[in-house]
Amino acid sequence: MLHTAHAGRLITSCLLLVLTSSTRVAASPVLDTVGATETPTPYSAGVLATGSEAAYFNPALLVGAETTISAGFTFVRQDLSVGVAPRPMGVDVSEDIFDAREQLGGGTTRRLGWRPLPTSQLRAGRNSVEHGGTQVLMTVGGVVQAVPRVLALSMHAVLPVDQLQSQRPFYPDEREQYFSNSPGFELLGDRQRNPTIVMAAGWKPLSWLRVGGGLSFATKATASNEAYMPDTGQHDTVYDNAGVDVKVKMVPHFGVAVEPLPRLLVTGTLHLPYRNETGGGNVLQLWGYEYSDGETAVIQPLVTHSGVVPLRVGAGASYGGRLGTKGRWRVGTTASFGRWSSYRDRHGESPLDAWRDTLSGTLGGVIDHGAHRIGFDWRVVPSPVPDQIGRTNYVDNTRIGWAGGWSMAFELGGVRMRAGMQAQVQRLLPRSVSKSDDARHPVVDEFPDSVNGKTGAPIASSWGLQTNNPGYPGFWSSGWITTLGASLGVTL
Amino acid sequence: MSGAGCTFGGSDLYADKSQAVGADGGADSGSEATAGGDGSDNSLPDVSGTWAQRWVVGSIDTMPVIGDVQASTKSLMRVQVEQRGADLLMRVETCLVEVDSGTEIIQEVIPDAFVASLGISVRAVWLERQGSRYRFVQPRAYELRGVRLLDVAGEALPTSAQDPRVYDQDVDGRPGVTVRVTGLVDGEVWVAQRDSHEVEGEVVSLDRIEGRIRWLKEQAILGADNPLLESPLPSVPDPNPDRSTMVMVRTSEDMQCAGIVAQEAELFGEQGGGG
Repeated sequence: MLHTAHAGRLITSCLLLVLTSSTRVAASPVLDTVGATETPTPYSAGVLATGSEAAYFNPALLVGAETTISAGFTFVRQDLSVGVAPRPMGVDVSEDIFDAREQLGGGTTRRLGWRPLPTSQLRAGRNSVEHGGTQVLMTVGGVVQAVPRVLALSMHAVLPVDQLQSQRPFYPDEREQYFSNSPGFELLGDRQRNPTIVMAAGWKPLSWLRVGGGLSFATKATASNEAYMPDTGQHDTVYDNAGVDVKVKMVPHFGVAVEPLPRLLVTGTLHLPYRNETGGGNVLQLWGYEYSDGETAVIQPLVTHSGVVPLRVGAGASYGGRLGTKGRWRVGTTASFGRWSSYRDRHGESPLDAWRDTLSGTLGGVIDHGAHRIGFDWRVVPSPVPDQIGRTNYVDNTRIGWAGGWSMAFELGGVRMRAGMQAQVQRLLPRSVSKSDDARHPVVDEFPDSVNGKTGAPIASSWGLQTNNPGYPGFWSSGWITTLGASLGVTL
Repeated sequence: MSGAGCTFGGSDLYADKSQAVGADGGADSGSEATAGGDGSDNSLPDVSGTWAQRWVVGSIDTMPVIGDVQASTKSLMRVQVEQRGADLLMRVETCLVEVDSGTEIIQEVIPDAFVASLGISVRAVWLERQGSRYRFVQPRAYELRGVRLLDVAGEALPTSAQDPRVYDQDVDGRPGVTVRVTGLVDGEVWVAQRDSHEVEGEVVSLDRIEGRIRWLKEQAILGADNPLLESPLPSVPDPNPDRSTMVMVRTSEDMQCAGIVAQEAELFGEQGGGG
């Protein structure tokens, strides 16, 4: 039979979970992919965090963490593969397109609506691609119990060592023919090469209630390339002033932890949408050019987004107990709702075929025995990307991850420390798609039936479907993400 | 006509049409065309027959972004000449019109339908003795394209596709005649045009006539399928008279337009069209 106080806590816990699940969340692409790299349970940190990683995953858990500083390094290897199906005969765009006019009824013609390059003139070949490589992440964190057992402050940072920030936009459709001419992983790759800096505070207003809030740093850049071209016939003569302004913006997140029953912890998290933005564009002046009314230059706007993570709501629960006289155990599970249906891609565009909201889950556990701590963790992260049977080629796979870790507490020179190691393997489940004429937004015929603009003769090479869409007629993807890390914490 | 006593360079002017340039070509200058010593009219050279004619008119076009460029328009024509004394009646069939825009960035293309719509025009020309040579004089003539005007020379060109004087001359479903633009900017421009030109040349030989062209061209834009092409591009004749030239070479009677286009280099002896 529950005590009245316990019943009240339980009700409060449920209300908090309902409240948080009706709101939105956000995140860091690095931490969402590899989790808390300095703990044995990287995926279930929203309910099992014991250190500065709680600043990001659930700041409510900061109250209860020891006053520590910690640092660690993690090697992250991404082995990502995208294979493309061979193109059938007759779909190449021929060089006739430069003389073509689209044929309309009644013998009239019009300018081509699509401007593909002849397939033979594309700068990059269309190939199956291996993405990835190894990167090193440095993790630095600290927790301070400002008011012991009541108020805790924390900072947590994950910094790519080799390349502080990377941003590689690409188009998900036929427009990518002008650039890489291959499909690319939308939610991996360069997204892991972005620094994450989080500051957070946790407060324990009641003996059974902890709340917390934090801020993640994101960037908002404005890139402006002012150029003057004195002679369009001399392309190599351009006077330009390129400038970049980078502002920092704060993206908040919140957490709550309730202990409705002894040994039982119920948590909720809320992360607002996160993204790094780059705006601005080219301001191009051309000698002798008549600009639009009121304009003194040709303005070519630029919008790119990187590291986009949508609103998310998480809920979790853990339960623990004693293990003999020297040990303790705790298992936890979390579920996270991701509002990927609101996703905007690297060019700030909403996918033509809307993405799905997802519900991902984790299951982890940790055992403390003496100075040793071991943990395991498991996760499943469904892909929000629907089968790309139409015009777009967003590459993404459902991931299943396994992680394990060990750490040991010790004293050195009278200072309490904890050193640990962690490893994880995430499998991107193989996936393949074939383009379909029945798609809601099918692959476009970039070279519609046309005639030669000079002679009026039909262009046979325009008959049927011609496209340089890199994903046509299909592609497949799979991969592995593996990590190995070590960390050291000092208890102050 | 009788050829008695009428010779160019000692040969019989009227009997020697066998020197027409055939398919194996070569602009053989043949006999030099000079007046006989007695100065009588019956010393006129006989230029009747079938000719290939090449016009190259040079212009200075002001292109957006690029500025002034030296452009040229080359026309190849098949001409049948009837001669009555010094008066010539030329039936001109246009075989090809090519524009060298003077820049790779923007090129103007004259569609075949445009060329085909030009049909056969008739031009009155005369020969005029000047010393020992004969001038080839084609007085100013006007040509309208895509528009019908009562006052061919003086009436302003219409500027609206809805103007009843505008008609679809090249039968492509667009008003006026269609000119195509490719390159940095591409699209179709629908225009009404008025050309006027006069030619003054010389009968170089029985098989070759050369001259210079004085010309003016007016063009009204009736529409375009690219807004950037809706503004008229200023174009004036190149003041260098050597860039606007006419050459006629005699051909065999059975040489048609396709042959003239295919054998341009052989017929005229040098590359044309570049201004």
